[in-house]
Amino acid sequence: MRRNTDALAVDHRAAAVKRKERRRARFKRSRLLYALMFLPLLDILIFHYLPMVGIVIAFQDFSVGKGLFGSPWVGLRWFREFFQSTYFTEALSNTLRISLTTLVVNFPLPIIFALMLNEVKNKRFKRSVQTISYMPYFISTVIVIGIVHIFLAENGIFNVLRRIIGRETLIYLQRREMFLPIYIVVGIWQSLGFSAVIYIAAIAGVNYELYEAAAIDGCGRWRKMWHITLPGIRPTIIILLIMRMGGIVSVDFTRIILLANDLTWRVAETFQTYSYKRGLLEANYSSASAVGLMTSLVGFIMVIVANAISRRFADDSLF
Amino acid sequence: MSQSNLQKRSGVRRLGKRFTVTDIIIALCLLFVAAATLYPVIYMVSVSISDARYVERSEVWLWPRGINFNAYLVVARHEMLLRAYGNSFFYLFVRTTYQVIMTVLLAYPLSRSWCAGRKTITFFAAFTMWFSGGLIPYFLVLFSLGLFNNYAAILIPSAVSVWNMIILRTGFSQLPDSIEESAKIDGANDATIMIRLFVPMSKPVLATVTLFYAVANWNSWFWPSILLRNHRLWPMTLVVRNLLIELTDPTFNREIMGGGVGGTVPNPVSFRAAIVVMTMLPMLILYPFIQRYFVKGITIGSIKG
Repeated sequence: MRRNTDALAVDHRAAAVKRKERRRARFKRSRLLYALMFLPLLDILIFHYLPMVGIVIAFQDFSVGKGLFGSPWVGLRWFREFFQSTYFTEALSNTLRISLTTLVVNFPLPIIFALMLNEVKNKRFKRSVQTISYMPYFISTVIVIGIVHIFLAENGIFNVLRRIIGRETLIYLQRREMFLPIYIVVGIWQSLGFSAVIYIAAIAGVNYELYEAAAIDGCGRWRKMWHITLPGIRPTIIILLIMRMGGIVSVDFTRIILLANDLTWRVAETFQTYSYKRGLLEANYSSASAVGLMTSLVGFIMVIVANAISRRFADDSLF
Repeated sequence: MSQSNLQKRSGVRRLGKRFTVTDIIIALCLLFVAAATLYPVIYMVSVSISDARYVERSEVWLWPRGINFNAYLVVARHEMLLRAYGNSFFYLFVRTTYQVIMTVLLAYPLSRSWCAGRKTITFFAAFTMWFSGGLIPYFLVLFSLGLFNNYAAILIPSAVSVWNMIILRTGFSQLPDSIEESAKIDGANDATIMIRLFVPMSKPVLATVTLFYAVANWNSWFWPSILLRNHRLWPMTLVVRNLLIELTDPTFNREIMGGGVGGTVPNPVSFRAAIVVMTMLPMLILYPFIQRYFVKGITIGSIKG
């Protein structure tokens, strides 16, 4: 009996040594691969992980002259200051208003668009519409907003139309109540076709036999869509929704920077634009980092929470 | 009579089977989407080649009126605009090439299942998709490395996009293992196999990734606007921003509107429209040819990502 356990232990040790050797051999075999990966990994280390280390300036009174190691620590001062300032409530309400409107309006539209395309039988028509629909992806946001400025100018086509129907000129971009509608419409124009690509691919992946079976059972178009297509693309919808949840505190701030002006900033200021203006325009690096860190932490947590919820209730999750 | 009735009925039914009311509504909705997408672009082109008289009286609605190319002639002689256009192309070609090379170098090793530590390294890369240091720390890193107000500031930072790396890795891993094995037997090393076999055999995926990088590079404006103080380094996107959206640099605008060769710009609206069209054009010419890859890329990326 005892001899038996001894033999087993020896066996174990031998196996461990062997495993170690095999691992070392695998590392040795991968040497050239590591050499190939070195530069790109260095790129990721410097431009992604170094900034993560740089987050500590959110807890410092950082100045470029004193550097990361010489600047004094101030704990949570910047967070406290931000929470107590009027900017916080303003940015919070604006961020939520903008991102929730985007979620409600811009999220379902690509799905509806994909479902509509799926109903078109004429292949050429379908392909033409789809090709046209993702053209905006290739146009820079700067160009898009530039065109918006031309369209909405005093003598732009919107105002010419208004004058024709007897209304007076409206400087759209300077009206606070127009900011969100413009932001939303531009967002739809930019992303409808691009976002729909994923759903169109998902719809194409739905088992065709299901449709035939449903047709035999006498299902019409609506019931096929409701009982086959929609359940078929449900995982895709849920995964994209989870990714959207992570973005609930982050909006397309570059679009906001380009659209907003002194007259509309009060309804346009969000966490990210605040961080941008504070840090990159006014060089208040520490307080801007604090706001940025808060935003990305909340986003990170939102993704995890949304993921857990959907795993619990819908059996679909991102990870 | 009954026969004609029957014919009529079957005719109606046939028509009904092909186009119901729902079909027509859907077709109209889709037509609206297509028209609304195209309209701004067509309008800008029309304004850029219309006669100043019609543009100033807001009489251009869809198609150009009094066609001429004066606005483009002004642009073509404008030293500052040509410089910005050249910068845009320079950034496009150099940065995209650099990025594609870097991405191949990371994607190929990570596509080899026998590579030790593959999962850890993939996680190291993928984690950056979920969490980032934020704008300010990123800016400070660039600034302290001297990547500020020079060409390198645009060309070098953050070359690898993890999203594109994953698309490329998927492409590489879909090729059969036997290619690698037989090449190894012939004595080829990993670098040779990657360059001579896998890269040429993955052209469609490579094209996809190149496209994604190229579009992002051509259209980028945010970091250039922060990193480039000297407007001689500006790409076209920043010119457009300054002219059409926000006066970040008034002297620049005065100089630009002062015209190229001494004179002033004849018609500001057409001139601006011409600049917009010129900035859109390269990508719009490119996209119908590569859309096949584009669709594939989005799909792979979103499934694996």
